[in-house]
Amino acid sequence: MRKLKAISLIACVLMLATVAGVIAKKAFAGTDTYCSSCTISNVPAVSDYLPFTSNHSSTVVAKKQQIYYFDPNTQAQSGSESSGSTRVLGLNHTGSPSTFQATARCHLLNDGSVTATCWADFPS
Amino acid sequence: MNRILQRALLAVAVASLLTIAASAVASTGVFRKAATSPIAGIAAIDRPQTPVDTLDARTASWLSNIDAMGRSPQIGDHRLGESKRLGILPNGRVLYVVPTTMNRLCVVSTTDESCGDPLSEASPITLTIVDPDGLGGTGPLAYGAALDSVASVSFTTEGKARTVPVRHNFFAVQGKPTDTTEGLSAPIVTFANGQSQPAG
Repeated sequence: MRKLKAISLIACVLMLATVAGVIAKKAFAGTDTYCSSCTISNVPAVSDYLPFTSNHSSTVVAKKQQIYYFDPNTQAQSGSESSGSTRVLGLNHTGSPSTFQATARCHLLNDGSVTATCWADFPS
Repeated sequence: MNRILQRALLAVAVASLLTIAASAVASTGVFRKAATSPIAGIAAIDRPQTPVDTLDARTASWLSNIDAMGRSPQIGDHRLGESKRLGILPNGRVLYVVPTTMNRLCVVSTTDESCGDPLSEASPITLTIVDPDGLGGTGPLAYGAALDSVASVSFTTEGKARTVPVRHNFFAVQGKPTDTTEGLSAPIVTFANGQSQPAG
């Protein structure tokens, strides 16, 4: 009987810890919406310096666009671009350039201007 | 008076039943594919989903989070249950096609996604170029889905043309470390009938 109580107690503690972990992760994960229904063209919208996990652009109409991570000190960048039929583009961060030293950016590739939303996610 | 009331109630009841029936049919999506399928003209994936077509948990979670945030109302939500495996990229990652609730077409790997309008004769391929480590690294990777009518896609890098065949509606080319993404961004599409045009 005592063993059963102990096992039940451990199970409850583990369950609470799991729930707390999930809540903590959700609470501290964040999004930097660095272009919120703004107009982008070939001049990029630029985020803050954060440890990004992904970068996204979303345009009202299909446009040739690019998203990337850029370190202004070293000029290092990594990114993704797409053809003119694209409305949404997303890229996970794969380690380059180093986070905190890079900004997330989005812009069009010589395709006029358009209303867009660009955002980058960062973890805890 | 009672008869008029009875007829009115009957009319309301019939109208309600018709509305419910129409809603049920619409929600099952019976006619969705026939109306405007975003995978029309891409024979390799115009088939029922099999286990190999299922997105890995991480990618599915990533796309679900995007949908939950509601950041892309112009494409709708990803129809994750209808994903199809398109091919394997030179870096070993699996490439999927995922339709959306607004009949847009998403080309998705574990690291990136590109969503847009369904393919057409004017815009017969999707094109995504990813450079994960910038100039001098592994080199940019260009890939996409193509209509049945497309035979090959040609890129020009460092002044030289490089043509890759389209197999099962899929193409991919691994650039050299010295290649820029710009060099891969304006391919020429050649159709099976021999005609060529810019990718759009």
